[in-house]
Amino acid sequence: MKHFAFMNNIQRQQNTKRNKKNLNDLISTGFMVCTLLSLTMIIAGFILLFFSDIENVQLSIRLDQIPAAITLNLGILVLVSTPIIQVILASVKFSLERDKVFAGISLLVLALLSTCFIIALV
Amino acid sequence: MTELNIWLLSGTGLFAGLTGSMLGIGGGFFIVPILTLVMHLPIKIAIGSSLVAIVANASLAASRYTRTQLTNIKLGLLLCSTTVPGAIIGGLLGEIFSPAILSTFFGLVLIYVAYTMMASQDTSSQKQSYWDNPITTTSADTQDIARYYDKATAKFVGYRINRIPQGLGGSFFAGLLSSLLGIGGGVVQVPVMNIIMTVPIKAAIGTSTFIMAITTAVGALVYYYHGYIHPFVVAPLLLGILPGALIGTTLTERIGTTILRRAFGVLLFITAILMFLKAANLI
Repeated sequence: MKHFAFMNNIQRQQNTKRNKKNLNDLISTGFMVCTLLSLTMIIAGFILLFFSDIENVQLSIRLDQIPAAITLNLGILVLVSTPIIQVILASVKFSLERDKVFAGISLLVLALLSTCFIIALV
Repeated sequence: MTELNIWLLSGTGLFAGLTGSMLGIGGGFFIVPILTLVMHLPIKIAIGSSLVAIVANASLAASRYTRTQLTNIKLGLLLCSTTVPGAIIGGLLGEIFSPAILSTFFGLVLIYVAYTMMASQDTSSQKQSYWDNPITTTSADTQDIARYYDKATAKFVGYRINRIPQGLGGSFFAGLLSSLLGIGGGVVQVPVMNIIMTVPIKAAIGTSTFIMAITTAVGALVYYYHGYIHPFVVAPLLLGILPGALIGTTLTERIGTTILRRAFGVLLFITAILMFLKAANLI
């Protein structure tokens, strides 16, 4: 009996560690993929900028006149959305694991971030 | 018309990426003055660019710290739940309080925190090796003990998260101050986790980068929406941040906790001096 309890403890411990590792791996990969994707677009846009006809890069240049700016803008948009995507991923992961407390907390964080965004826009 | 110096922007990004990822702070305190005082860019473009740079830096650092378990995701999300309301309320109270008085008060608090961090020992040092043989721990222990692998000592470090309600309060305060004073939350968030919640300094830095990435992203999106994020300013900054963040995270994993705490203490002193200068309207 004592042996079974001990084995159960080990099993529960290993499951907890595996879940935690899975979550960490998922978020880490999510951060890395999104950040590298955005940085690739930004670097590509930057290279395009060098091949464009502009002699001095100035703030007064209209963005819609330069193809490089579209790639750069898209890269920046992916970058600033990266952390929000990770919170969404975490909430999905917690929901799948039926971890109600942390699924609730991550959804609360998402709701608060949305509120913050709306308040800033108004 | 403002002509942009790409090398200066990349150099600024490199330094901000290195210090920011190493100490779990944003680096905005360095980027904004360079962009406004040296490059004479409009303040809103400087802040917008700084926010994007912080998101990039924190995301790159969080990716690495999450993989090595220096980032405690659950703790990060929990603290976010009070940091974000703090930032919202701070934004609403911004016009009621005098920035000069707030800056002076915050500067004094920072000096006290810097002294505490530099003078005391890291709480994790007493618990090192606890997880060397995790199979021998009881199930009760596994529920409230987190751990990470410390490359500097080549050992697993286990830690308990204490005083959660006080930590949540401190995190609310961090959000409030970051919004009221326009500073990154890291300088408050790291001491709150390290001193109040007894989270080891490395895990506090790792978790702080995760929180910062999330909270700063909303600000960056708002600035993007209003057109204050200029790709030609941001792109060179990011090109510097990429190598800076990679070097910074490697250093954090490999150097000792005492050095890290002292470096953070020095950073807090510098921030305190900047706050006093801001209060006196000198910057």
